[in-house]
Amino acid sequence: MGLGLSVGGGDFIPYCKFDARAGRWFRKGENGDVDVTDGFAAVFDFEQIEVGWMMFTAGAAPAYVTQGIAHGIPAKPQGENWKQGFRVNIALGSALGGGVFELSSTAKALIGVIDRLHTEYGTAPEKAQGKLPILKMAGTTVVETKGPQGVTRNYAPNLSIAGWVDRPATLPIKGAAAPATVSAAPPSTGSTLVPPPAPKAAPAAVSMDFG
Amino acid sequence: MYRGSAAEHGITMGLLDHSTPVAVCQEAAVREFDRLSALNTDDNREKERDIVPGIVEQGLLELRHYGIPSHVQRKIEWQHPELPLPFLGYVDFQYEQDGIIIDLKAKPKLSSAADEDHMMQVALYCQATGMNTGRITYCSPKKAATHQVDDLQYHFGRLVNLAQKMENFLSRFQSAEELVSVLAPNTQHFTYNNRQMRRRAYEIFGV
Repeated sequence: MGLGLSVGGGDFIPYCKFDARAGRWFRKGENGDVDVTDGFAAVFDFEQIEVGWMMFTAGAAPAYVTQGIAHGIPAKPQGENWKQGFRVNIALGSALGGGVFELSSTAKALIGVIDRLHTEYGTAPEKAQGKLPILKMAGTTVVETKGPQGVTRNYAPNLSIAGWVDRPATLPIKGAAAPATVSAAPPSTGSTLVPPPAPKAAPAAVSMDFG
Repeated sequence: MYRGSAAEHGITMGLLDHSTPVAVCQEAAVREFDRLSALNTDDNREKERDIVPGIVEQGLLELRHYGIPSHVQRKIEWQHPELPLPFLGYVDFQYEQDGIIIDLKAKPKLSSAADEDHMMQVALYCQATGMNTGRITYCSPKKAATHQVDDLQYHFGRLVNLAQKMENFLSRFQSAEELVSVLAPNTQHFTYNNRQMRRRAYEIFGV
């Protein structure tokens, strides 16, 4: 009996993560993590950020129970090791290799920063225009926490909103109809003759070259 | 049969180092053609060899605008969860920095539109590499033209559908011999232009 699940041609968004213990950003690469700390800059899709519960277990895929921030934090799932966190899609600047990645974290050092910036985003006039913020990092700030086993040192990224862009095509609104893997329409789609690219010049309207 | 591989050899050389003179790339392509076709007695061999330099020139004129590719001849292997075997292929040119895959096709003459088969091939490559723009560059001795696939998901879906149909069909037969007993190749297809291939087709299929 079929599971009724769609398995054809799905889009899997690779991860990007902030290692609060080291104060560094990494994105998923072909052969392991790629450090993208230097010059870190990305478009953050704050409009569709989700909050909720996450469980990160070494050697296993992370588990999420999240929903759009407008709906608040969902009920905590049963079981141990669930922590509150956020997940958001980001588009890295072309200087860092470009691409869309999912950033999720339960690290307090990062959550505090994202929380503040999301609040700033929420009151900005650009939000009403449908624009998304470009966040850039300028170093880190040490965050020391005293615990039963002594002082724990983590690093919070010094992120700020450095600019705004129209929603890139690579960060579509979720739930928008994606093309079916096998279209029921007749084969009207073909190809378009394209000229060779012009020499790379200044960025156009929605530039990802902000790193 | 070898013009494509030979032309690609020369074009790749010229794309990885834009300072390499076109003539050097052309010579390398012809040497590659000679190496690949050393034991080939096909009547069209000389005609094919003669058009390789022109294809190399047109290919470089068209593709040097894209810069230096991040990957050339990149092997891809992509497993669909519902198919028993993975898709295999080699991506001619990947420009990861721009999210572009380009597949090169060397032909004696250009056609006005991209082939359906080529669009499916490029759609697969984009799926396997995560690139979002798939293009096919057709090069003849006199011209080059690049076609961008309009809807990659559509063509990828067609490819998967075809593979599933092929699997359904092949699974009905117990042996290769049984399969041969009910099939006949289309000897008008270009793969049978070569006399040796036509002879093998007759030996295997009896037609």
